[in-house]
Amino acid sequence: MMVSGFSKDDIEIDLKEDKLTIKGQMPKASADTIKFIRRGLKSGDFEATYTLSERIDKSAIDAECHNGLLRIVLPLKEEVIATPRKINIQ
Amino acid sequence: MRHISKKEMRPFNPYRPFEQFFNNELANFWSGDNFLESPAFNIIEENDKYVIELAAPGLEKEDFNIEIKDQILTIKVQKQESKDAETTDNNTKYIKREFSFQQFTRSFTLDNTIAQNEIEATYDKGILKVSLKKVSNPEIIKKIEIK
Repeated sequence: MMVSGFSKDDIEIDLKEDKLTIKGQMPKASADTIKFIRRGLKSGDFEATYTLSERIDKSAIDAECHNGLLRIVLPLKEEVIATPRKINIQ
Repeated sequence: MRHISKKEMRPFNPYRPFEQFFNNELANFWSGDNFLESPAFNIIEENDKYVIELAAPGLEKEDFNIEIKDQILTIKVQKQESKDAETTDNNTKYIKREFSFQQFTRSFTLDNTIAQNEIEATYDKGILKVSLKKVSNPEIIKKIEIK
């Protein structure tokens, strides 16, 4: 996830039941006198919510933020990886 | 016959807002190459400088190659490893991919109001900032003698 301009301290990740919410709070710009000649970058706070599948191991979710890139790792439950699902022909 | 003004004849130019801002003498100051897959950017004017902010997350400062040649500032990133990672690591599969800044080039034409030997760049939190100092006394008005 692109989070250019945010450091890891500006980002909050919450898990409530099966909803994963990522919130970013942009530190307030110090100068009001900044004059934009072109403004192509999105700025300001953001919030995104994702519904997680039951196949994800919620206790093992991990996140890292480096150079404006937020990477959230959502491991699959062990039984999902280990047990092949058989599909019967009807 | 309808007279077509010069303005109407101009092709669509996404950079017109700041072209207008700069007015006649500075109209050619910026002209960016409009690559569709290039990162978004801001151009900010401060008292003594201009700053280009380019959003290119997930890179390292060593990945950038910034050059000035013939008054053209070029920012280039050419990273090979992501392609290799995709082909060698069979476990990695993109289900949804909205961005990739592993390879791009963006160019800006500078005019003589920029001190071309005083350009600095930093990369922090996924944003490349290029500071372009203004020349204190630019000779922006070129005098043309009537013969």
